[in-house]
Amino acid sequence: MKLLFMCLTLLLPLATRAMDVSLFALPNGTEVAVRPFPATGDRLLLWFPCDEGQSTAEAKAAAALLPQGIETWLPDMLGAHFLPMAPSSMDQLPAEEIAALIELAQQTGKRVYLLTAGRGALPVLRGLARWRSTAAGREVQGVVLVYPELYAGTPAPGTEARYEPVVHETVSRIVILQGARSPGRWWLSHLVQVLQAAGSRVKATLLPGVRGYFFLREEQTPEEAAMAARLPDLVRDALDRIDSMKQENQP
Amino acid sequence: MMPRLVSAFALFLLTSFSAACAQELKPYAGSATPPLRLKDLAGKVHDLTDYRGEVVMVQFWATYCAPCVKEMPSMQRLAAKLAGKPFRILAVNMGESEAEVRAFLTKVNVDFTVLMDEEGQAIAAWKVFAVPSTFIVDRAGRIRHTLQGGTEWDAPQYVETLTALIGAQP
Repeated sequence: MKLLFMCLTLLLPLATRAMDVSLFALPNGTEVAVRPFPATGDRLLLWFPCDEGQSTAEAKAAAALLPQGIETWLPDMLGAHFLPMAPSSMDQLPAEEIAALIELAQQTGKRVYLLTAGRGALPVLRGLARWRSTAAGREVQGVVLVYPELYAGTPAPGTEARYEPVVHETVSRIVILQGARSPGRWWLSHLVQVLQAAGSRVKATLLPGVRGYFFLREEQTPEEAAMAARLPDLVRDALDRIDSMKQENQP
Repeated sequence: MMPRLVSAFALFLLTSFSAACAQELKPYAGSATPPLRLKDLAGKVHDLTDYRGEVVMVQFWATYCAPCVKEMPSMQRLAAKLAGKPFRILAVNMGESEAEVRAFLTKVNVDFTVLMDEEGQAIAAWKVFAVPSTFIVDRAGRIRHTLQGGTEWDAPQYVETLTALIGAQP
Protein backbone atom coordinates (compact mmCIF):
# COMPACT_ATOMS: atom_id res chain seq x y z
CA MET A 1 0.00 0.00 0.00
CA LYS A 2 2.88 2.34 0.78
CA LEU A 3 4.19 1.82 -2.71
CA LEU A 4 0.76 2.53 -4.04
CA PHE A 5 0.65 5.90 -2.34
CA MET A 6 4.16 6.64 -3.54
CA CYS A 7 3.00 5.95 -7.08
CA LEU A 8 0.00 8.17 -6.54
CA THR A 9 2.19 10.98 -5.31
CA LEU A 10 4.26 10.64 -8.44
CA LEU A 11 1.17 10.55 -10.57
CA LEU A 12 -0.64 13.63 -9.32
CA PRO A 13 1.78 16.24 -10.64
CA LEU A 14 1.75 14.47 -13.98
CA ALA A 15 -2.00 14.30 -14.01
CA THR A 16 -2.26 18.06 -14.00
CA ARG A 17 -0.47 18.16 -17.32
CA ALA A 18 -2.53 17.55 -20.39
CA MET A 19 -2.44 14.08 -21.88
CA ASP A 20 1.10 12.98 -21.02
CA VAL A 21 1.73 9.29 -20.68
CA SER A 22 2.45 8.38 -17.07
CA LEU A 23 4.27 5.28 -15.97
CA PHE A 24 2.63 3.54 -13.02
CA ALA A 25 4.75 1.16 -10.97
CA LEU A 26 2.25 -1.32 -9.57
CA PRO A 27 2.86 -3.14 -6.28
CA ASN A 28 3.74 -6.37 -8.09
CA GLY A 29 6.51 -4.61 -10.00
CA THR A 30 4.69 -4.25 -13.31
CA GLU A 31 5.02 -0.87 -14.94
CA VAL A 32 1.91 0.25 -16.79
CA ALA A 33 1.85 3.22 -19.13
CA VAL A 34 -1.32 5.19 -18.55
CA ARG A 35 -2.52 8.01 -20.74
CA PRO A 36 -4.49 10.38 -18.50
CA PHE A 37 -6.96 12.95 -19.76
CA PRO A 38 -7.27 15.11 -16.62
CA ALA A 39 -10.50 17.00 -16.04
CA THR A 40 -11.82 19.18 -13.28
CA GLY A 41 -15.03 17.25 -12.59
CA ASP A 42 -15.53 14.57 -9.98
CA ARG A 43 -15.96 11.61 -12.35
CA LEU A 44 -13.02 9.44 -13.36
CA LEU A 45 -13.28 6.80 -16.05
CA LEU A 46 -10.77 3.97 -16.11
CA TRP A 47 -11.01 2.74 -19.70
CA PHE A 48 -9.28 -0.61 -20.04
CA PRO A 49 -8.26 -2.07 -23.40
CA CYS A 50 -10.09 -4.94 -25.04
CA ASP A 51 -8.63 -7.87 -26.94
CA GLU A 52 -8.14 -5.59 -29.94
CA GLY A 53 -6.04 -3.23 -27.88
CA GLN A 54 -6.69 0.49 -27.86
CA SER A 55 -7.06 2.74 -30.86
CA THR A 56 -7.29 6.45 -31.45
CA ALA A 57 -11.06 6.13 -30.94
CA GLU A 58 -10.66 5.85 -27.16
CA ALA A 59 -8.30 8.82 -26.99
CA LYS A 60 -10.64 10.92 -29.13
CA ALA A 61 -13.58 10.00 -26.92
CA ALA A 62 -11.56 10.76 -23.79
CA ALA A 63 -10.65 14.18 -25.16
CA ALA A 64 -14.29 14.85 -26.01
CA LEU A 65 -15.32 13.95 -22.46
CA LEU A 66 -12.93 16.50 -20.92
CA PRO A 67 -15.20 19.56 -21.29
CA GLN A 68 -17.91 17.59 -19.52
CA GLY A 69 -15.66 17.21 -16.49
CA ILE A 70 -15.09 13.51 -17.02
CA GLU A 71 -11.47 12.50 -16.49
CA THR A 72 -10.28 9.40 -18.33
CA TRP A 73 -7.27 7.16 -17.84
CA LEU A 74 -6.24 4.78 -20.61
CA PRO A 75 -3.92 2.10 -19.20
CA ASP A 76 -1.88 0.08 -21.69
CA MET A 77 -2.28 -3.31 -20.07
CA LEU A 78 -1.18 -5.30 -23.11
CA GLY A 79 1.97 -3.27 -23.58
CA ALA A 80 2.87 -3.71 -19.91
CA HIS A 81 3.14 -7.46 -20.52
CA PHE A 82 4.19 -7.44 -24.19
CA LEU A 83 1.01 -9.33 -24.99
CA PRO A 84 -0.50 -9.50 -28.49
CA MET A 85 -3.96 -8.20 -29.27
CA ALA A 86 -5.92 -11.43 -28.78
CA PRO A 87 -8.67 -12.77 -26.53
CA SER A 88 -6.17 -15.12 -24.89
CA SER A 89 -4.15 -12.08 -23.78
CA MET A 90 -7.11 -10.86 -21.78
CA ASP A 91 -7.09 -14.12 -19.82
CA GLN A 92 -3.49 -13.43 -18.83
CA LEU A 93 -3.90 -9.96 -17.36
CA PRO A 94 -3.45 -10.22 -13.57
CA ALA A 95 -6.51 -9.21 -11.58
CA GLU A 96 -4.24 -7.65 -8.97
CA GLU A 97 -3.01 -5.11 -11.51
CA ILE A 98 -6.50 -4.04 -12.49
CA ALA A 99 -7.29 -3.83 -8.77
CA ALA A 100 -4.21 -1.69 -8.15
CA LEU A 101 -5.23 0.72 -10.90
CA ILE A 102 -8.74 0.94 -9.46
CA GLU A 103 -7.22 1.74 -6.08
CA LEU A 104 -5.05 4.46 -7.62
CA ALA A 105 -8.10 5.96 -9.27
CA GLN A 106 -10.00 5.79 -5.99
CA GLN A 107 -7.22 7.68 -4.22
CA THR A 108 -8.03 10.74 -6.32
CA GLY A 109 -11.28 11.06 -4.40
CA LYS A 110 -13.27 11.10 -7.62
CA ARG A 111 -16.19 8.83 -8.45
CA VAL A 112 -14.63 5.95 -10.40
CA TYR A 113 -16.21 4.12 -13.32
CA LEU A 114 -14.72 1.24 -15.30
CA LEU A 115 -15.16 0.68 -19.02
CA THR A 116 -13.98 -1.97 -21.43
CA ALA A 117 -15.13 -3.93 -24.47
CA GLY A 118 -15.15 -7.46 -25.82
CA ARG A 119 -13.03 -9.97 -23.92
CA GLY A 120 -11.62 -7.08 -21.89
CA ALA A 121 -14.68 -7.60 -19.70
CA LEU A 122 -13.05 -10.65 -18.16
CA PRO A 123 -9.94 -9.08 -16.57
CA VAL A 124 -11.89 -5.98 -15.57
CA LEU A 125 -14.55 -7.96 -13.69
CA ARG A 126 -11.82 -10.10 -12.12
CA GLY A 127 -9.90 -6.99 -11.14
CA LEU A 128 -13.01 -5.39 -9.70
CA ALA A 129 -13.68 -8.51 -7.63
CA ARG A 130 -10.09 -8.45 -6.37
CA TRP A 131 -10.30 -4.75 -5.48
CA ARG A 132 -13.66 -5.19 -3.72
CA SER A 133 -12.20 -7.91 -1.53
CA THR A 134 -9.95 -5.26 0.05
CA ALA A 135 -12.09 -2.16 -0.40
CA ALA A 136 -13.68 -2.21 3.06
CA GLY A 137 -17.06 -0.86 2.09
CA ARG A 138 -15.84 1.53 -0.58
CA GLU A 139 -17.17 1.06 -4.09
CA VAL A 140 -16.65 2.04 -7.67
CA GLN A 141 -19.66 3.70 -9.24
CA GLY A 142 -20.15 1.02 -11.84
CA VAL A 143 -18.96 -0.70 -14.99
CA VAL A 144 -19.66 -0.08 -18.66
CA LEU A 145 -19.27 -3.19 -20.81
CA VAL A 146 -19.36 -2.73 -24.57
CA TYR A 147 -20.25 -5.97 -26.46
CA PRO A 148 -18.81 -8.01 -23.56
CA GLU A 149 -17.45 -11.49 -24.25
CA LEU A 150 -17.64 -13.47 -21.02
CA TYR A 151 -18.10 -17.06 -22.11
CA ALA A 152 -15.97 -19.75 -20.53
CA GLY A 153 -14.55 -20.99 -23.81
CA THR A 154 -16.44 -20.73 -27.07
CA PRO A 155 -19.83 -22.39 -26.62
CA ALA A 156 -20.28 -25.29 -29.04
CA PRO A 157 -23.32 -24.87 -31.29
CA GLY A 158 -26.36 -26.44 -29.69
CA THR A 159 -25.00 -26.55 -26.16
CA GLU A 160 -25.64 -24.34 -23.15
CA ALA A 161 -23.34 -21.34 -22.80
CA ARG A 162 -21.20 -21.24 -19.69
CA TYR A 163 -19.88 -17.97 -18.35
CA GLU A 164 -16.60 -17.39 -16.57
CA PRO A 165 -17.02 -17.85 -12.80
CA VAL A 166 -16.47 -14.14 -12.13
CA VAL A 167 -19.74 -13.37 -13.95
CA HIS A 168 -21.61 -15.28 -11.23
CA GLU A 169 -19.76 -13.36 -8.52
CA THR A 170 -19.94 -9.80 -9.81
CA VAL A 171 -21.99 -7.33 -7.80
CA SER A 172 -21.98 -3.87 -9.33
CA ARG A 173 -23.98 -1.41 -11.35
CA ILE A 174 -23.46 -2.40 -14.97
CA VAL A 175 -24.42 -0.84 -18.29
CA ILE A 176 -24.04 -3.05 -21.36
CA LEU A 177 -23.86 -1.61 -24.87
CA GLN A 178 -24.34 -4.36 -27.44
CA GLY A 179 -24.14 -4.06 -31.22
CA ALA A 180 -27.39 -5.23 -32.79
CA ARG A 181 -25.51 -6.82 -35.68
CA SER A 182 -23.72 -9.46 -33.67
CA PRO A 183 -24.70 -12.90 -32.36
CA GLY A 184 -24.26 -11.57 -28.82
CA ARG A 185 -27.46 -9.56 -29.16
CA TRP A 186 -29.47 -12.77 -29.06
CA TRP A 187 -27.90 -13.74 -25.74
CA LEU A 188 -27.92 -10.29 -24.16
CA SER A 189 -30.99 -10.93 -22.02
CA HIS A 190 -29.43 -14.20 -20.86
CA LEU A 191 -26.24 -12.44 -19.78
CA VAL A 192 -28.30 -9.74 -18.03
CA GLN A 193 -30.22 -12.42 -16.13
CA VAL A 194 -27.02 -14.14 -15.04
CA LEU A 195 -25.48 -10.87 -13.83
CA GLN A 196 -28.68 -9.90 -12.03
CA ALA A 197 -28.86 -13.30 -10.38
CA ALA A 198 -25.40 -12.61 -8.95
CA GLY A 199 -26.66 -9.35 -7.45
CA SER A 200 -25.68 -6.77 -10.06
CA ARG A 201 -28.01 -4.08 -11.28
CA VAL A 202 -27.87 -4.12 -15.08
CA LYS A 203 -29.15 -1.92 -17.86
CA ALA A 204 -28.56 -3.00 -21.44
CA THR A 205 -28.92 -1.18 -24.73
CA LEU A 206 -28.79 -2.46 -28.30
CA LEU A 207 -26.82 -0.24 -30.62
CA PRO A 208 -28.62 -0.44 -33.97
CA GLY A 209 -26.79 -1.15 -37.22
CA VAL A 210 -23.37 -1.97 -35.76
CA ARG A 211 -21.26 -5.05 -35.19
CA GLY A 212 -18.98 -5.71 -32.27
CA TYR A 213 -15.73 -3.70 -32.21
CA PHE A 214 -17.54 -1.02 -34.24
CA PHE A 215 -15.28 1.80 -33.07
CA LEU A 216 -12.07 -0.20 -33.60
CA ARG A 217 -12.75 -1.64 -37.02
CA GLU A 218 -10.60 -0.51 -39.91
CA GLU A 219 -13.39 -1.17 -42.40
CA GLN A 220 -16.40 0.41 -40.78
CA THR A 221 -19.79 0.54 -42.42
CA PRO A 222 -21.30 4.05 -42.61
CA GLU A 223 -23.54 3.10 -39.67
CA GLU A 224 -20.51 1.98 -37.64
CA ALA A 225 -18.59 5.16 -38.45
CA ALA A 226 -21.58 7.21 -37.34
CA MET A 227 -21.93 5.24 -34.11
CA ALA A 228 -18.19 5.51 -33.46
CA ALA A 229 -18.49 9.28 -33.80
CA ARG A 230 -21.12 9.13 -31.05
CA LEU A 231 -18.81 7.22 -28.71
CA PRO A 232 -18.32 10.09 -26.22
CA ASP A 233 -22.10 10.54 -25.95
CA LEU A 234 -22.60 6.80 -25.51
CA VAL A 235 -20.03 6.74 -22.70
CA ARG A 236 -21.40 9.80 -20.93
CA ASP A 237 -24.95 8.44 -21.17
CA ALA A 238 -23.74 5.13 -19.75
CA LEU A 239 -22.14 6.89 -16.78
CA ASP A 240 -25.35 8.87 -16.23
CA ARG A 241 -27.34 5.65 -16.26
CA ILE A 242 -25.02 4.17 -13.67
CA ASP A 243 -25.57 7.25 -11.51
CA SER A 244 -29.32 6.95 -11.94
CA MET A 245 -29.13 3.31 -10.81
CA LYS A 246 -27.32 4.45 -7.69
CA GLN A 247 -29.98 7.04 -6.98
CA GLU A 248 -32.69 4.40 -7.43
CA ASN A 249 -31.00 2.43 -4.66
CA GLN A 250 -31.18 5.28 -2.21
CA PRO A 251 -34.26 5.63 0.02
CA MET B 1 7.11 -37.11 -67.67
CA MET B 2 7.77 -33.51 -66.58
CA PRO B 3 4.20 -32.24 -67.15
CA ARG B 4 2.92 -35.24 -65.18
CA LEU B 5 5.22 -34.42 -62.27
CA VAL B 6 4.11 -30.80 -62.35
CA SER B 7 0.45 -31.85 -62.42
CA ALA B 8 0.99 -34.25 -59.52
CA PHE B 9 2.75 -31.55 -57.52
CA ALA B 10 -0.02 -29.06 -58.30
CA LEU B 11 -2.63 -31.61 -57.22
CA PHE B 12 -0.69 -32.24 -54.01
CA LEU B 13 -0.55 -28.50 -53.29
CA LEU B 14 -4.25 -28.11 -54.05
CA THR B 15 -5.36 -30.95 -51.80
CA SER B 16 -2.99 -29.85 -49.04
CA PHE B 17 -4.37 -26.33 -49.26
CA SER B 18 -7.97 -27.54 -49.22
CA ALA B 19 -7.27 -29.77 -46.25
CA ALA B 20 -5.60 -26.91 -44.41
CA CYS B 21 -8.56 -24.61 -45.08
CA ALA B 22 -11.25 -27.09 -44.17
CA GLN B 23 -12.29 -27.24 -40.54
CA GLU B 24 -13.24 -30.53 -39.01
CA LEU B 25 -16.90 -31.25 -38.39
CA LYS B 26 -17.53 -31.74 -34.67
CA PRO B 27 -19.92 -34.30 -33.21
CA TYR B 28 -23.11 -32.64 -32.02
CA ALA B 29 -23.13 -32.40 -28.24
CA GLY B 30 -26.56 -30.87 -27.66
CA SER B 31 -29.94 -32.37 -26.84
CA ALA B 32 -32.64 -33.55 -29.26
CA THR B 33 -33.06 -31.65 -32.51
CA PRO B 34 -34.89 -28.39 -31.74
CA PRO B 35 -37.88 -27.35 -33.86
CA LEU B 36 -37.20 -25.33 -37.00
CA ARG B 37 -40.22 -23.80 -38.65
CA LEU B 38 -39.58 -20.57 -40.53
CA LYS B 39 -40.67 -18.69 -43.64
CA ASP B 40 -38.54 -18.19 -46.72
CA LEU B 41 -38.43 -14.90 -48.62
CA ALA B 42 -41.50 -15.90 -50.63
CA GLY B 43 -43.46 -16.42 -47.43
CA LYS B 44 -43.50 -20.21 -47.72
CA VAL B 45 -43.17 -22.01 -44.39
CA HIS B 46 -40.44 -24.63 -44.13
CA ASP B 47 -40.53 -27.15 -41.32
CA LEU B 48 -37.47 -29.29 -40.74
CA THR B 49 -39.71 -32.30 -40.11
CA ASP B 50 -40.92 -32.04 -43.72
CA TYR B 51 -37.39 -32.96 -44.84
CA ARG B 52 -37.26 -36.24 -42.96
CA GLY B 53 -35.52 -38.71 -45.28
CA GLU B 54 -33.08 -36.07 -46.50
CA VAL B 55 -29.76 -34.94 -45.08
CA VAL B 56 -30.16 -31.28 -44.18
CA MET B 57 -27.46 -28.68 -43.67
CA VAL B 58 -28.91 -26.00 -41.39
CA GLN B 59 -26.74 -22.96 -41.38
CA PHE B 60 -27.19 -19.77 -39.34
CA TRP B 61 -25.71 -16.80 -41.17
CA ALA B 62 -25.87 -13.02 -41.52
CA THR B 63 -25.10 -10.55 -44.29
CA TYR B 64 -22.68 -8.66 -41.99
CA CYS B 65 -20.61 -11.78 -41.37
CA ALA B 66 -17.58 -11.85 -43.67
CA PRO B 67 -16.90 -15.63 -43.38
CA CYS B 68 -20.56 -16.32 -44.22
CA VAL B 69 -20.34 -14.26 -47.36
CA LYS B 70 -17.08 -15.91 -48.33
CA GLU B 71 -18.30 -19.47 -47.91
CA MET B 72 -21.68 -19.12 -49.62
CA PRO B 73 -20.40 -19.88 -53.14
CA SER B 74 -18.86 -23.09 -51.81
CA MET B 75 -22.27 -24.07 -50.39
CA GLN B 76 -23.72 -23.57 -53.83
CA ARG B 77 -21.00 -25.80 -55.30
CA LEU B 78 -21.68 -28.40 -52.62
CA ALA B 79 -25.36 -28.40 -53.54
CA ALA B 80 -24.36 -28.89 -57.19
CA LYS B 81 -22.06 -31.80 -56.29
CA LEU B 82 -24.86 -33.51 -54.38
CA ALA B 83 -27.57 -32.68 -56.91
CA GLY B 84 -30.11 -35.45 -57.38
CA LYS B 85 -29.42 -36.86 -53.93
CA PRO B 86 -31.61 -36.38 -50.84
CA PHE B 87 -29.72 -33.34 -49.58
CA ARG B 88 -31.01 -29.90 -48.67
CA ILE B 89 -29.52 -26.63 -47.48
CA LEU B 90 -31.58 -24.40 -45.18
CA ALA B 91 -29.71 -21.15 -44.59
CA VAL B 92 -31.28 -19.35 -41.62
CA ASN B 93 -30.65 -15.62 -41.59
CA MET B 94 -29.97 -14.30 -38.12
CA GLY B 95 -32.46 -11.58 -37.36
CA GLU B 96 -31.99 -9.23 -40.28
CA SER B 97 -34.72 -7.57 -42.28
CA GLU B 98 -36.14 -8.94 -45.50
CA ALA B 99 -34.85 -5.86 -47.32
CA GLU B 100 -31.30 -6.46 -46.11
CA VAL B 101 -31.36 -10.11 -47.12
CA ARG B 102 -32.94 -9.43 -50.51
CA ALA B 103 -30.32 -6.77 -51.27
CA PHE B 104 -27.57 -9.19 -50.29
CA LEU B 105 -28.93 -11.99 -52.48
CA THR B 106 -28.82 -9.76 -55.52
CA LYS B 107 -25.02 -9.74 -55.08
CA VAL B 108 -24.47 -13.37 -54.08
CA ASN B 109 -26.02 -15.78 -56.50
CA VAL B 110 -27.33 -18.82 -54.62
CA ASP B 111 -30.45 -20.88 -55.12
CA PHE B 112 -30.64 -22.85 -51.88
CA THR B 113 -33.39 -22.08 -49.39
CA VAL B 114 -32.93 -18.97 -47.26
CA LEU B 115 -35.12 -18.75 -44.17
CA MET B 116 -35.88 -15.67 -42.08
CA ASP B 117 -35.61 -15.67 -38.28
CA GLU B 118 -36.29 -12.02 -37.53
CA GLU B 119 -37.30 -12.66 -33.92
CA GLY B 120 -34.37 -14.97 -33.20
CA GLN B 121 -36.59 -17.88 -32.13
CA ALA B 122 -34.55 -20.52 -33.95
CA ILE B 123 -31.28 -18.90 -32.83
CA ALA B 124 -32.35 -19.38 -29.22
CA ALA B 125 -33.74 -22.88 -29.71
CA TRP B 126 -30.67 -24.09 -31.61
CA LYS B 127 -28.29 -22.31 -29.21
CA VAL B 128 -26.31 -20.38 -31.77
CA PHE B 129 -23.55 -18.20 -30.28
CA ALA B 130 -21.40 -17.42 -33.28
CA VAL B 131 -21.96 -16.70 -36.91
CA PRO B 132 -21.77 -18.76 -39.04
CA SER B 133 -22.84 -21.88 -37.16
CA THR B 134 -23.76 -24.99 -39.12
CA PHE B 135 -25.61 -28.15 -38.13
CA ILE B 136 -25.75 -31.34 -40.21
CA VAL B 137 -29.02 -33.23 -39.72
CA ASP B 138 -29.25 -36.87 -40.80
CA ARG B 139 -32.12 -38.49 -42.68
CA ALA B 140 -33.81 -39.47 -39.42
CA GLY B 141 -33.85 -35.82 -38.30
CA ARG B 142 -31.04 -36.08 -35.75
CA ILE B 143 -28.29 -33.49 -35.62
CA ARG B 144 -25.05 -35.34 -36.19
CA HIS B 145 -22.36 -32.70 -36.70
CA THR B 146 -21.72 -29.01 -36.13
CA LEU B 147 -19.21 -26.52 -37.41
CA GLN B 148 -18.57 -23.02 -36.15
CA GLY B 149 -16.93 -20.49 -38.45
CA GLY B 150 -16.47 -20.31 -42.18
CA THR B 151 -15.07 -23.01 -44.44
CA GLU B 152 -15.08 -24.25 -48.02
CA TRP B 153 -18.06 -26.54 -48.03
CA ASP B 154 -17.26 -28.34 -51.27
CA ALA B 155 -14.00 -29.70 -49.84
CA PRO B 156 -13.73 -33.50 -50.30
CA GLN B 157 -13.98 -34.29 -46.60
CA TYR B 158 -17.42 -32.67 -46.29
CA VAL B 159 -18.70 -34.22 -49.50
CA GLU B 160 -17.52 -37.60 -48.22
CA THR B 161 -19.21 -37.19 -44.81
CA LEU B 162 -22.45 -35.95 -46.32
CA THR B 163 -22.46 -38.68 -48.95
CA ALA B 164 -22.03 -41.29 -46.21
CA LEU B 165 -24.96 -39.81 -44.27
CA ILE B 166 -27.08 -39.70 -47.42
CA GLY B 167 -26.27 -43.35 -48.04
CA ALA B 168 -27.10 -44.43 -44.49
CA GLN B 169 -30.49 -45.89 -43.64
CA PRO B 170 -32.74 -43.37 -41.86
